[in-house]
Amino acid sequence: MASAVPYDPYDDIDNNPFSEPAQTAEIGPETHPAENQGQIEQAKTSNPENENKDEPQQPISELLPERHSQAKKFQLMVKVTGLERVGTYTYKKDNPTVQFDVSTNLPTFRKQQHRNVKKTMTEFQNLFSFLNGATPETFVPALPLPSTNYGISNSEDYNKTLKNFQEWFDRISADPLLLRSAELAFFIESDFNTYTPVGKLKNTPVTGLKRKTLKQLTPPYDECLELAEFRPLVKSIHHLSKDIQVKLLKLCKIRKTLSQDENAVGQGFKELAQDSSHAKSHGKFYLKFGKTLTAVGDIDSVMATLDAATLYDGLEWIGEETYTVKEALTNRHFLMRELLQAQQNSKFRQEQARKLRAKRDVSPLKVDDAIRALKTATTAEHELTLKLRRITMNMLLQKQEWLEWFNTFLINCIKEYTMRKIEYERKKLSLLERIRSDVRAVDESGGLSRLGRGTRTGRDASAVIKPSQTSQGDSWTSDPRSHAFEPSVLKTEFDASIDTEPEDVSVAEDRYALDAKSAAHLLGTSTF
Amino acid sequence: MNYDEELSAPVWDDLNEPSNVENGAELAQTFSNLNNTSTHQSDEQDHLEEESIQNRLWDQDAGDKHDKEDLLASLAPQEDPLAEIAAPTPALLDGTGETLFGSVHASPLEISEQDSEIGSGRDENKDTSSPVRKSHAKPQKLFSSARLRRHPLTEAQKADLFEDPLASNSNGTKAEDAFVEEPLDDDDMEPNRPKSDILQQVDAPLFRISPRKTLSATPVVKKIDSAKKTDADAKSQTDHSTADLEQFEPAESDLKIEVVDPLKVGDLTFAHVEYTIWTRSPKLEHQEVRVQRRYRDFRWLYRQLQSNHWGKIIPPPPEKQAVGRFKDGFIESRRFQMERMLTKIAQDKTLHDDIDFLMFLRSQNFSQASKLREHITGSNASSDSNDISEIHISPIVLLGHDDAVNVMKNGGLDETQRSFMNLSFGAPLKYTEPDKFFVEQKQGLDVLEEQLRQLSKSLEIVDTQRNDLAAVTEEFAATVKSLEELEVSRKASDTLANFAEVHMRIKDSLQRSAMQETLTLGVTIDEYTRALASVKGVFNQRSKLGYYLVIVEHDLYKKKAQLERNTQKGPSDKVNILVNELQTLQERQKKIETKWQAVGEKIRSELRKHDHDKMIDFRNNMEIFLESSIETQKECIELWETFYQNNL
Repeated sequence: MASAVPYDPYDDIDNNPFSEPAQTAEIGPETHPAENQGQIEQAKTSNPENENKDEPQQPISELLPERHSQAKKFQLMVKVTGLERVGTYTYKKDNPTVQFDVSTNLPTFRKQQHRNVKKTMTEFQNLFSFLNGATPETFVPALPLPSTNYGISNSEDYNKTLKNFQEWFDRISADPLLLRSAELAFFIESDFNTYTPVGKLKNTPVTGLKRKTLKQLTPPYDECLELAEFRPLVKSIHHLSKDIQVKLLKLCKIRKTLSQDENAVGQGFKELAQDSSHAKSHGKFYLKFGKTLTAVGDIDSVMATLDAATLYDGLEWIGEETYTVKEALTNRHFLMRELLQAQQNSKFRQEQARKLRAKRDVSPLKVDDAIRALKTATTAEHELTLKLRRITMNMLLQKQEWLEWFNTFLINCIKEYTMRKIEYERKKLSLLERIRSDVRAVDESGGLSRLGRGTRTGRDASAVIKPSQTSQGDSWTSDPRSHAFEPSVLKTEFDASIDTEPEDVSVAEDRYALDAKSAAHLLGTSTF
Repeated sequence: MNYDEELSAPVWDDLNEPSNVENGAELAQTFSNLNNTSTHQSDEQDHLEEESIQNRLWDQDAGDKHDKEDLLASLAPQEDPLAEIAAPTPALLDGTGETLFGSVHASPLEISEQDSEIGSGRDENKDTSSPVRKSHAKPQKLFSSARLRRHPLTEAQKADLFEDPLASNSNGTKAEDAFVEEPLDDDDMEPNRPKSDILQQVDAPLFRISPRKTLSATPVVKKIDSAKKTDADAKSQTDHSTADLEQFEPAESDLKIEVVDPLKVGDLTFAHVEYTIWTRSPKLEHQEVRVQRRYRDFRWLYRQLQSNHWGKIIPPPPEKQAVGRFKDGFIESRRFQMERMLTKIAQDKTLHDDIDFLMFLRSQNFSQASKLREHITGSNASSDSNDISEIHISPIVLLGHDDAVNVMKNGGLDETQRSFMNLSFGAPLKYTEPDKFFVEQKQGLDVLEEQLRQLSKSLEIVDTQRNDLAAVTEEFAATVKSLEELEVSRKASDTLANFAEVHMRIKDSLQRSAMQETLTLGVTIDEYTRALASVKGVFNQRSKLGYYLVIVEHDLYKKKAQLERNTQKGPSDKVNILVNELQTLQERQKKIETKWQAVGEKIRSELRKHDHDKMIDFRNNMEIFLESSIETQKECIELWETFYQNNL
């Protein structure tokens, strides 16, 4: 206190020790409460808003030095190289080990290159919770899910999880505030499975019951309208994506049961085939029809899994993400509340000082006390104001980034979902079309052929029915497709079950095609 | 025929006159002089008799000649109004019938008598103004049954036949009337050809097409199919001769039957649904008839046809259902099934001329008419059990009237068995099927039925699941839409909106395909299952007949033993009685045995036909199902592709 405002003994004549500090102190607090009151009354909404908008822009380099001057100076490159799942089933599922290479120029790191760093999911979670608490300014990207709905221990799950972790690291290293956190270095440089947060959380966010109660209160007035609106938006995104997840899950479940029932229908046809009363050729035909129906049912089941693995997992991540964002914003609210308290406190101190000044004779002890209290209150308030400004500023920036991320991520999810949908619907179609010739061959004059569909009759002619999807495009539309025709759609995982005699047509493997084992895995375990 | 001897009741004379008057409006005119004088009664009856004989002949012709079958089949019903007029007389004049009806079933007849008298009185008044109005009134079908005649034709009567001015006259006019609208493939047979020639030529192309168009989709398929069948089925069905295949060909039916306008009638306790049957055919007097029938009546028709045609696999009515009878979906599906049943019957060339069927299509006073027919044939059609496969063997049809009466008096054929069983037999007599074919078939049926049941159950589940899926898809789309409404960003919102849209469309497509599936595979399998019950009924008929045969043989054996014992004691009254009894029993046994064999033969051919029909039906529907799922699939892909292209 004494150091902050040196006491000038020659000021005695004046006998007004508050004149200067009071003035300095008044600048900060006075403007803010004035705004607050003004906006509560809704009188001068536009004016302070403009002020606010202008205000943060000026000191951006001061408030967020990391973002400004040296933003591009430090870099962290992480390349996720592998994933290990060991141990019991739940352990495999929930606590995989991620392998990655790091190269960086951050001073917090002891060396620039780290190869084959191995970290378990638990360690990641520790890091995440620390980062989340230590950097209230930023929205820490939520951790990816430890396993996908593809079901663990198949290549699709492996690739997807790897990709997710890569994305997470990319997002971490794109955030200058997080990059500077020493904890990141501790995390990466610690030995396998030994990391626990090293740094102390300076001011841990409110937790537990207190947090819950505080959340119930109406949020304090937020002069930054953008962020004030952002939280409810994020919250509804969170809830809606949860809702969609629930619906999607229901959808998948029904689809799975449907596929079972479709299998049963196929089975029924197969049994019909065994009936001796039918002619031999018919038996075979029924058998094939039944097998195809079964395969179609299986495809439905695969689709259910894929739906869950693409959109459901994506939404799950979005849910996690929105949750962290929401909580970060809540923390900001708490900070604002704290600031309000600090402001009140300093006001109160000021009031006291004023009263003291008004008195005729003042005991210097009391004056000293009052000055000291006022000083602490003001500095605390000032600190908080600065902190809040910094947070607000960063969050405003992050909000844009986050929305962008949300957009691309969501669209990517939908894209992936659509891709798989198309792929498997196409497979289904090719499956169905494959028995078409058989159905026609059995009965040249029946069914739809009398509508003129099969213009040529006769066994050999019907065998020539071409699949409607070829590399030239789809027979039913002249629209060229944006993505190239993949011959893989003409081949499904279930071909083996349909064809009684092996075909020697080899079609190139595509990268999405499941091998028999993983297909069986997809079908066998429901992942929810 | 000696009417004078057999005619003992004046009741019949009374009945005859009015019923005739009512029956044919045209006849009323031509016969007016005959009707006026009761002394000419027998004359008139003679004429009628001869007409009916003629009809019989036509029928026989139709049965005999394969190549002219179509023409005759279509011609025979043309004669029907006439035949129906003619028929009552012999049927009613049947002396034994008189005792049967007079003693046992007097009351229903009396009611109808009064009814018809009232009706005829009214008709006669109207005759001059609108002669044709009432021509399809009920008794026409009630009493017209050329098939009921059991007396062989004498040569004299046959000779008479073509000289009869009345018969030829009415025949001629009839033919002229109806011929215009006949789709004829072969035309050499017609006596009145020159007259109708021009008309026919004018209309010819129209009528060559029309019968196909009027038929539902299936028969057309079958037609084409049978044309190429020899090639297609060469491998699978080598045992079937070409004659067989021809037999499978459904008769060209002029009847276009629609079941429409289900309407809930009655109060709470007696509520039921009435359907309007709308029949259009050039053969009918008005070209179209609308009658109201309820579900029960369809059951009656089924039973009646079953009893009329032993060994014939009758297209079955839908199943009974106690709960949820008034739900829209149920009524619709029932309507559809009943329509199919009627169409199928109309397509069968033996069934579509059946009197009961025609009566069913036309009678305005069905409840009485049906009861009368039931009494006459002893079909017991209205006491209908739930199970389609259960059957009732009418003793009248089985044994003829005289014997049937005796048997009925004793409480039915198996009565003796029942009473004996109590006294002397430990084990009841059992009929074991001697023919391996039937045993195998029956076992096969059971297996097939079980499989089909399973299949239809899973199809049903798939259907509900699909609908659930559609519902949840809708919910899903709605939720996605609400996320879109947050407008997080323009692009995401657009994408989400379209995403939701795609899902809504997929939902529609799902519902459509579910419906399609029930309409094709579901209905077919369901029908197949019910048809199997009908097939079972046919088997039951055979085994029941076999059972009767065993009983009668047993009785015969005992009687023989008894006779032997008595003859050893020397001649007496008892011996004579026994000899008589033995004779009746022998006759009875012979009758039953021939019927039994006939039914067996019939079943064989019917089964082949049935299998074949069903197979085609099944395959067709499988293909339709396949094609429609392919189309749905394409639609689905297209939806996603478009979405992908536009948004991602």
